[in-house]
Amino acid sequence: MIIQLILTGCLACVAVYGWAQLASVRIVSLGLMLLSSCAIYLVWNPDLTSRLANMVGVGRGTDLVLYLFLVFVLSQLVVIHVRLHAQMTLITQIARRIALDSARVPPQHNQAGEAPSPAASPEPPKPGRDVL
Amino acid sequence: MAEANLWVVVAGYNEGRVIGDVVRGLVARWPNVVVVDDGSRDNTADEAFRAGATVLSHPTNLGQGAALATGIGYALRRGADYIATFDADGQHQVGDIGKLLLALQTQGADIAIGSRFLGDAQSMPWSRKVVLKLAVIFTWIVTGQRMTDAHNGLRLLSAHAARTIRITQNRMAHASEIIERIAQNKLKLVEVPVTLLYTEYSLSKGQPLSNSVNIVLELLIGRLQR
Repeated sequence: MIIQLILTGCLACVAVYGWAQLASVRIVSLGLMLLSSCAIYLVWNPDLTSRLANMVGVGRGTDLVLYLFLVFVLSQLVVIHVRLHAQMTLITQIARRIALDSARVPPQHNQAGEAPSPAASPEPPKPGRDVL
Repeated sequence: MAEANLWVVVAGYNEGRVIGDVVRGLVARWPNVVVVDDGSRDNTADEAFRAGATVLSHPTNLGQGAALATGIGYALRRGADYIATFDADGQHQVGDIGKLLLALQTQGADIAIGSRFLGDAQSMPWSRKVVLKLAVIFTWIVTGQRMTDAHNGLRLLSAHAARTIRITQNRMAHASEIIERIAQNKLKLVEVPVTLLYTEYSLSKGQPLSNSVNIVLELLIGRLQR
């Protein structure tokens, strides 16, 4: 009984969070609200979970929830990995831009008539994609 | 033969102890040297600059692949016709760059890569030999490119090859990535025998054997993301 109240409270928070995000990512927040509503319903009707489990060939409702949870966590791991990789690419581009814009060119190079360093000519860096 | 506009790119991470000597050796023969200081915590950048190199500093450590990509991009901006990559730990010989250039020009290749197995690998530990041979087989299976030494840091790229090969692997998997791009883009590769000097310093800075597992993982993950 107590666990049902705790779970309901937590799931309700998730639903409210989803509702608050409605403006930014519609599909995700709708999904969150739908999922947490279903979960609350199942918390109060555990028999239904067991019947669902039996329908798909799993013995106990708890096991079904566990399996679904596992799939969810693994898929989220992939999502996080892809996002981290995208962020690393971004960080690399920023670091590269900083490195290129603050190049320290030895004096003999400038005398040789080659492109001056940013320090020697305060011309702004060229816009566009220099990053490799 | 007219002197080519050749740039040497050196990626350095905490190499303050040796980078000065390496750069001085390079500058004496090839004046255009760019050292990419990959977020070192020591005096790598200052030592390299004092020795006469152009220095680019990553604000944070990104890895050798990222550093080489930065240096190659810079060299292309400066109008390089040829770009050499050279290890910071002093195991490559400056004279070998000329050999690579000669091979590239006479054979009309897009990229020349040094091979320690065609040349001389002085005092190479046998464990390293085994790992490098395995890497060769792995590279052959993955990219279809046959070569004798898949992980040699001494390379010479024509400007065309440098523009074609985009290094996206920030860390050590870039060596295999370069070979993969060569195969994909049907660039002409020539292997040139070079000498590698295994000093105590270079061995301590070299990758531990366990890292080969990480390289394979990086490559596989990189494949999933393309």
